[in-house]
Amino acid sequence: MTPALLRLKVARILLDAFLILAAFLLAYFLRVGFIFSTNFPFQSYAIIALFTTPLTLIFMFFARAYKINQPVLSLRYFQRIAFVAIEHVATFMVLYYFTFKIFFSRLMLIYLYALTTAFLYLGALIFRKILQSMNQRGIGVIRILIIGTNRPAQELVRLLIETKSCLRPVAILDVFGGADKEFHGVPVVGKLDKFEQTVQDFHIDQILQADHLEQSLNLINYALQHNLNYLMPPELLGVFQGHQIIEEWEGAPFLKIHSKKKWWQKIW
Amino acid sequence: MYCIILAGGFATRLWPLTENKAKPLLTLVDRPLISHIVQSIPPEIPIVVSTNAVFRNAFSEWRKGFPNHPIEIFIEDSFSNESKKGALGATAMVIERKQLKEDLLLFAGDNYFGFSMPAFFQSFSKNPLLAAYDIKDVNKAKRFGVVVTRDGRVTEFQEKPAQPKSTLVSTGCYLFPAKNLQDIIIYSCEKNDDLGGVFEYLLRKGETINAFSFSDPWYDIGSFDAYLTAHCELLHGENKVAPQAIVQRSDLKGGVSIADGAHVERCTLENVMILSGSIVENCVIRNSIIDKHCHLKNLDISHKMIRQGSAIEKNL
Repeated sequence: MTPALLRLKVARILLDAFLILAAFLLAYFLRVGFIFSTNFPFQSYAIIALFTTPLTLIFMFFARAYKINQPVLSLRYFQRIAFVAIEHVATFMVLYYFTFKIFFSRLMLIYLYALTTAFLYLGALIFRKILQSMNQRGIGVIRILIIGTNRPAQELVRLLIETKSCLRPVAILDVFGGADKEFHGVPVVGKLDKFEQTVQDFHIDQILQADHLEQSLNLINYALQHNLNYLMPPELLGVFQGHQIIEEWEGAPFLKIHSKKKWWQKIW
Repeated sequence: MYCIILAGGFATRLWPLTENKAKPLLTLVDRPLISHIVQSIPPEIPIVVSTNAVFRNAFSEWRKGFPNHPIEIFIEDSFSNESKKGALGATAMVIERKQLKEDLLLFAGDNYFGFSMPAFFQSFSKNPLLAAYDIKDVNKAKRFGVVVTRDGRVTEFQEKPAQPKSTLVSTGCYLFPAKNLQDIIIYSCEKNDDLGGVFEYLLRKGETINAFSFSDPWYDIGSFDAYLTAHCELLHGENKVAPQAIVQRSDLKGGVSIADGAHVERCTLENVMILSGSIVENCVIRNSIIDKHCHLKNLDISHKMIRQGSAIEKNL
């Protein structure tokens, strides 16, 4: 991780801390009115809120909310934030009760949950925008080498470029030596004999293999030996349809392909 | 007579085996491919190996294995696949720079020829001569330059034709009389990478071209499959373990060669080439080539070229 990206992530965490405290504050005032109530002392409330906030940030880490490759505009990401908010409210409730041995407004907990969920998701959206603008300046960018110039490779390049993804294709290696010199502005720098040179010249962070499956062993081995990540779209393995996950059975990993299921079927 | 062996290609299709090595220096059975060619040439014929600057040191090192053979390494001034001279361009360059005035024996350095060289020389009668292999399959012939002959004379030359008129294909072995060297230079200005094209050019000029037909083994090592096939067929299903290699509790079948310094233990290997310094433990490997200094453990792999220095272990 580059220092610039690290600073950006720290800023995001501080923003989340601010938003969580803002949700606490707003929930309090929405419930008791815009006064400092004597029935429900603000000072006690604020102390527990301050203790709860870092724990919630830790929940955010475990939910992988700070990984920059997460698709923020997705139901799955929203679900993660919503689960973090549940943990957040539960932690606050338990800490408050254990500290002061009194119960308090249930409606305020509902406000707190809704506001925390909304604010944290809003924070993620703001950060996504900031990251996208930073990406244009090369900050937070994961530099990708694409192996292959076939249609899936071209489609991946187009997708990553058009969505201004932090995964940025910077070079392409052709497998069979076609005539094309670039795709969507990304140069085709040669064939696989230029592999090692390209990784060095373009400061590659990840290798994305979209073609030439028989070379996967060599590319993965190279990536691991040089502390690079390796990505492979499932269709390179012939997985063109269905949904796939990596599932473990008895500790052994499998790529599981299944037909599309209703949401309630997935939890059984 | 002078001999040129063309070895300037970058062999991108055989990556990673050719990552740091020219294709003619790839091991076939027990020695580099180019060594098979050189050993078939009478020692009184001077040899020029034309290669690119990237492989200069590797060929200089290889040449030390032939102290009694006059071999010169000629360096084309190219450093990448894009700037290479092309087969014909490289030949023309050597002819011009060396000011050759003798008959020229020309080989593609990535071919293996099993025919008798004296028989080839006997077929030479001051006309251009090409070695033609009967591939016996029209579909396979489509990938090569096809030669149509009558009474040992070439009547037509088809470069990778859609509908071959013959199953005789031109190999990478030619003999040009001194009178035709200028034709090579002239035609190379037109197409610098079209060796076969020079014969079409000569036919158009009305020159007589002779063909030396043979059915002995011939391999054009242009792809991984071709390389594996050559390896398997030249071993005739037998195994070749170098004296300094260690093989313990392993089952070798279908043509396995293991080079000096390799260590194979508890493995099943079938049509596999293991190069020097590699350690292979508890693996089942088929139709694969393991380059130098690899360490493989607990793997089941098939149809792979493993990059030099790879260390791959599956945790059991």
